[in-house]
Amino acid sequence: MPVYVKGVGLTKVSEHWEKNLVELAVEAAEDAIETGNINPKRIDKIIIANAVSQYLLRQSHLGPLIADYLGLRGIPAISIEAAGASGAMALHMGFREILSGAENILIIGVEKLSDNLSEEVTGAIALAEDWEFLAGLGITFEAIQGIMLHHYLNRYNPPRENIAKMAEISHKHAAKSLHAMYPFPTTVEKVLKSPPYADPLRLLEIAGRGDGAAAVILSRNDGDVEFLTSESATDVFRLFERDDILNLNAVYEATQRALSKHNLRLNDINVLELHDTSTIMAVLELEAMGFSERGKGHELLANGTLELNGKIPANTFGGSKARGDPIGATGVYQFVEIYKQLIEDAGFNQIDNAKVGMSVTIGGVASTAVINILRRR
Amino acid sequence: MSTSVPSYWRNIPVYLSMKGSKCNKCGAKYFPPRKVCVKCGSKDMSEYELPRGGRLIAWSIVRYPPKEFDEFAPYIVGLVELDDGLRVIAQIVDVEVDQLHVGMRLKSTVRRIYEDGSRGIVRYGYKFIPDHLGETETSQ
Repeated sequence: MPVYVKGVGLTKVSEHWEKNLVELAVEAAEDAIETGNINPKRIDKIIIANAVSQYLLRQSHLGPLIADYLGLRGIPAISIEAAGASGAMALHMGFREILSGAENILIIGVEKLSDNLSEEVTGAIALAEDWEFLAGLGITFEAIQGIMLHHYLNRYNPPRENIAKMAEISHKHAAKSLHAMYPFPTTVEKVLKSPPYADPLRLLEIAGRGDGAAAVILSRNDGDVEFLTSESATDVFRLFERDDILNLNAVYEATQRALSKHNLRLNDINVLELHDTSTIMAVLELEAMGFSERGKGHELLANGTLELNGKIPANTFGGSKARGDPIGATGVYQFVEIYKQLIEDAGFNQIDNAKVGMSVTIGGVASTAVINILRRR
Repeated sequence: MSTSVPSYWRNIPVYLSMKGSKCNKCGAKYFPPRKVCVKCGSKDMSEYELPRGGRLIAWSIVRYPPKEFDEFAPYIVGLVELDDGLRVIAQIVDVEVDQLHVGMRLKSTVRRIYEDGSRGIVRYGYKFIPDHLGETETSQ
């Protein structure tokens, strides 16, 4: 049974000082209900994706809270958490709800970060990794990625500029995006001159954290775009217990499953959303998905492959770096952005003839990975 | 958020003596310890104390830490491969970053991790120092 995308909505990723978490979620959801032309009474369930509201906002139980403010009292609602992969995982679960017989499922990814100090947000983000033996010993999420980049540079000796190029690409695409947090271009040179953040990672190589909400209505009723498949996998939780810290096994597993189910090849993918929690993670994702051999993912950044007119346009609205990364909502943003490309509603960022789009979304340093694939009919 | 005292107490052998576990059936070693071997499924595990020495594989610098760690920043964290092959990520102290090199010999020691406010516990745990240093230098 095919699953279709019926309506989408999103807010700008920003510091929304005047809005709280519920208001952001409602704004995106009402947008999705309206564009999908859905009778709200025919929504079977609401799945909320959120990563850190319990820690930062002291608020759990987002399901009924948001359902109430949407005027959808009575409809079942639940929130799920899979760190940075929460949004993609909510879509993964919504996909299966439709396969199980539901008619319409409303997915809302939402995150509110700017009510808290940045050091509190750093603490919240670090919880995606083991608390007892990483976060609680002072090892931040960004520093873990810094270690991965350091090891990558040491093992493969790529030009450092090639990796920083990911930030330049994301910013270039964000510059023309209406919902990006940082809509301006930057250069590799500026990226590598920005302050060190978690060495060797520089500030401008790290995802921009912001508030935001994105929503999608999945349906069994006919639509322009089919949600072809959603696959997820896990990896050894603590990075230091993995056989090879540069091998994103969960990304590899989820990609293989997703492609093989529909006899797809990587060549069939016309638009890609990478989860650039930092530049190095985007490189490792490309390698794990199989777009390049190991140690060579950085070449795809440098040779134009990921540009809007390249072979596999990626992060076409700015990615986590420049569209911004509202942690638990990010996977839903990626999904909406691919959808916009497929229905040719991508404005200044429209690419030509996109038929199939794929997103990779990671929780932690990819101890969770989700691959979602969309296809225009 | 305050640190749970029972959680810290439970982990004292792991934090202070780096006690891991070893599977008596297949020989797999774990740090932190596990009660079930994920390689062979055996529950026949015994306590195993990690070697103190190892070498540095890769590192990063935490410049923007969560607030518990503010007083230490910036500080070095690194992936260390111990002499038995087990790996761990920990803070590297008593060394300047320009003295670090891949493959550098390190050894584990016990240091203060952070103080949980004026009324909470003081957490101690393992950090790594250059192998050539004595035991009395306790700047961090």
